Amino acid sequence: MAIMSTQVYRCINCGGALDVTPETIVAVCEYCGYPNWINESAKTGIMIVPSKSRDDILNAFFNRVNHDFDLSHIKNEISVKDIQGFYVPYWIVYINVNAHYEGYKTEITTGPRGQIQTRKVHVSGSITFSKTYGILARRAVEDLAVENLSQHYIESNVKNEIELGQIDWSKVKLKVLSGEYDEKTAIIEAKERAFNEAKKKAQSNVSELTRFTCITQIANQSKPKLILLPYWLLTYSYKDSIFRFVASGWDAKPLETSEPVLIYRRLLYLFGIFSGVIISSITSSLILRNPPIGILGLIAGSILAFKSANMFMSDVRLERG
Amino acid sequence: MVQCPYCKAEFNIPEQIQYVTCPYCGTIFQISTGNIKSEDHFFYPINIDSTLAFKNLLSFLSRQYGAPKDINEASLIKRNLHYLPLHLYEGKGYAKCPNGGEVYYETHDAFLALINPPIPITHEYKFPVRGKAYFKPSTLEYGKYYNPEIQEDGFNSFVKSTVYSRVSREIILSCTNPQINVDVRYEGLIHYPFWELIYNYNNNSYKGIVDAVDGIVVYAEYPQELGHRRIFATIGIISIITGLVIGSVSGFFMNTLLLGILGGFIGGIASGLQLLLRSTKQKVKTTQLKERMGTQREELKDIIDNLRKITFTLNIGV
Repeated sequence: MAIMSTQVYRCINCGGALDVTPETIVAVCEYCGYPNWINESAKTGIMIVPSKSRDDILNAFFNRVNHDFDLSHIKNEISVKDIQGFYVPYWIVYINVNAHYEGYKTEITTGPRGQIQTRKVHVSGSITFSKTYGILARRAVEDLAVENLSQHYIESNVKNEIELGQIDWSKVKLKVLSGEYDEKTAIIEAKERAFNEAKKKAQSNVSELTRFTCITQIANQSKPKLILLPYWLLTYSYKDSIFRFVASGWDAKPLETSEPVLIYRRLLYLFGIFSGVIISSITSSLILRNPPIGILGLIAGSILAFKSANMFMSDVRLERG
Repeated sequence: MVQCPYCKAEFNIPEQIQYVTCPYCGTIFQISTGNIKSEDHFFYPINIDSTLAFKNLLSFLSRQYGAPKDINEASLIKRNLHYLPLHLYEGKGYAKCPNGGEVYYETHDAFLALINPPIPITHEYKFPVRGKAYFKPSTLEYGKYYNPEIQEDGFNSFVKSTVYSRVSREIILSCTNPQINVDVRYEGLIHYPFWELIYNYNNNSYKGIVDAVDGIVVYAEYPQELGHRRIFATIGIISIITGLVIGSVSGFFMNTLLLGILGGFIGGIASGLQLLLRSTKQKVKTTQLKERMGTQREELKDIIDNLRKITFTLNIGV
């Protein structure tokens, strides 16, 4: 536990002042890397994933610029303003889901004289799956690609995570953000996500869900683990405007980029506006002959027109990867 | 005047402060005052000074489609740093059925504790992932601190009912006699800094609000160029006319004139209305917050899912 004399938080290992807020459960000393548990009851092992260097992130960014259709056209006008990396804490929770659903499915058939008939069919089924969730261990926060980072970590099957005590701290140049969620809270959050996912799956199997029972459990013999993942945020400028780029630290993979909307993009959106209008005008005339295609076309065309007009006036594009 | 218990340095802080970081040795300590429970009051220090905040605002404005090309030359005429109080709550919901079905829900929300905020900030604000810390005297330079006008328990019932309705809506599909527990805990008060910047362009003044922690433009106004307003209006009108013309032609040939015109009108309005509305505005309001949120992977899938549902429902109706 961190030394607390006259309410001063100092590292138990080196005596350095700690960055502690009332919510902090663990503060990793920025001088020596020692984990100071403020909330002793929440104590657990912490894993850390070593990060690539600042230059690797810079390379990843320029690589992205060279291979991106839009950015490659303006690469001479792009300059990097700032690069920051830090360790963000996540809880990794493994959940087993067992769900049962009942509902109705609508079937469309064509009758003997070509007329369309619909009927409701009662369906039921089970959904079972196991999944790993990465829960951000900080509260009420939101930042570009912070959610995708843990997802990418789980999907990329990283093998080089090590215990916090084993990392050579003199080489870690990143600031470590304190953990604020304890294990219990992380489990609740993971169960909630698993529940929602199961429900979504059930809903996609029926057109009307009438019954849904779900049991979520932590997978046998798996204890949630707290892990520090490296997150890099780069800001770059084009003409007089600033845009952002986020990459994961262990493999320098671009996660999300905000990009300027260039002139030919706007022309494309303009094309989208008129295609949407034309689709909705023509298909709506078909509504009486072929209702599903007519109505679907009208809605899809209108959405295309709406979205395109919206993007035509927008100032930024967010692109994954 | 307070004294650091570690290095004995003395320095000034405002009255409302509960915790402070010594500017000389970095030690954090509590100043025993006031009625706010200890350990529950903290701050976000400013990372972005007013010069940088204004630079961020201008670079954000210069990428707006429709803003004047020389918006970068606008001049800052007024700046205020507002430390706004937000109440933090933790809401937990758990529901269980005799047949084993269960639902969990947990939420952490921050609500602005002011009835009439001095600057246009939404009542539910999400924070950037970095930066939370105790108060530092250096942040005092320009800041104005606001005491909460809404009591600690002011949002309790709101959070409680949100959690309750969320949990009960989910569990009701599992059984009719669930056992529902909802627990709401007040987590504390936070003071969060925003820059209010008033700038001058062509003898008119406009407002910008910049998050002083990560520099994101929360709210901004800018003048819209006449040329762009004409472009928006023209495209808007043409798209509506295109819809009407193509709709009536295709409707005429398929003997469903009215449906054709109606469908063309709907498509035309879907794109045209927002363009026309935008073209009427001399002063446009915008925000950079969606850049903090990022893309939502599920968004497109949800749209397709909903489309499918709508057509199913329509089919049943037909």
